[in-house]
Amino acid sequence: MNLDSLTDMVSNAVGVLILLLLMTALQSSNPHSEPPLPIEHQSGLLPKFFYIHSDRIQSIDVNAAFANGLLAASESNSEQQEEFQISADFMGQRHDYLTLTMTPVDTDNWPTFEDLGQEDTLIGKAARSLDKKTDFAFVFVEDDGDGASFQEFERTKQWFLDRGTAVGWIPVTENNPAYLCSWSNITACRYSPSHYGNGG
Amino acid sequence: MLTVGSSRKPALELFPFISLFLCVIGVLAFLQNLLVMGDIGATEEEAAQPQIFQTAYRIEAMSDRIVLHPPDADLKEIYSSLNLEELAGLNSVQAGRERDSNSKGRTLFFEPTFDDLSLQLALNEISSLNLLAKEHGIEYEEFVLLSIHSGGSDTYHYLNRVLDVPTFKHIRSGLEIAPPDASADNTQ
Repeated sequence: MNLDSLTDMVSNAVGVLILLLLMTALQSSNPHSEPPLPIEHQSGLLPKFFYIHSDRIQSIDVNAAFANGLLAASESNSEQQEEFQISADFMGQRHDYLTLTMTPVDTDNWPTFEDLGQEDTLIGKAARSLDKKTDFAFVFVEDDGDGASFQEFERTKQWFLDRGTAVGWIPVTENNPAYLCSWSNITACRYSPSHYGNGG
Repeated sequence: MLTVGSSRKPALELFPFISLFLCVIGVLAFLQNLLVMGDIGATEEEAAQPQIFQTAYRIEAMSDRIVLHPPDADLKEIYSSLNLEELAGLNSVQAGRERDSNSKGRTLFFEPTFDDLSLQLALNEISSLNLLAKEHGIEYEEFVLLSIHSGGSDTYHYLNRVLDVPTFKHIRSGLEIAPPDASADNTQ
């Protein structure tokens, strides 16, 4: 057998493999674009909660909130509606075993948006722990009346979107506080991510 | 034995040509397969994503009022598919919307509750239009875009509760922070 023929075959086979690699690389680098409308939609993603108060932002540990809620319930003699400490950053009020509302406390010591970008801060670690394939950021934005929280939310939303993480949000007030639900079908406990863009 | 004038012809080997030919054919077939697979993938992806032809019916939420901004969408395609009865209903919708559009929205004040009838009429319009479009296979859907001003969050929650009643629950909704140029000082 002629050696040239063998070389010819091998080089052709290698060429095909290189072509295959190039096509695969090109396909994987082509990102899928999101629909450009801010419509809430059902999703299999799990919410990871954040709370924005003015220019401060804090993450919320749901498991700790419910654990402390149950603890407070077991220690309490009264039926319901007692305030308890969720964490150093939130007070909670239990409505039943599955639903509680939260109000922020000691917000002067909360992290800022700049801390969100730092890898060595708790809020930075919480934000980076989100897996964009399984989680999305859901943000309670306190409406303070002067728009500071809204501005902070816009920055925070963009920060997450730039990392490919979906974002959902709801404005909260004293009359309509942040709800955390273990399981509930009430409107306040529907956490949905939104598509963002130039809606309208 | 003596051979006179004999000349040896070079042996012609077909193997390199066949090899090259088959490789070229293989590459072409491979490319064809890739293109076909790419098309199938794109089609499946499009099918999995909901078709987005939604048009926003914007409702501004402020502390003491809401402003309804019907879309100025062209409803001609829907018009052409309707019977006379449906057409009469749509005509009144279109006329009302053009009036609202000319006056930069319809403002409903909070005193002490909103004019629920106007709000519910607006939501009924959205619901009816979506239903008509669906019945006639027209790719048109309106959704409510709640545009929240600072201080308007309680109003947002009120609107959310209205949208949550079974009659309007099927209307999609979205929320945004009202853009700075939004008409906050509209009056009726």
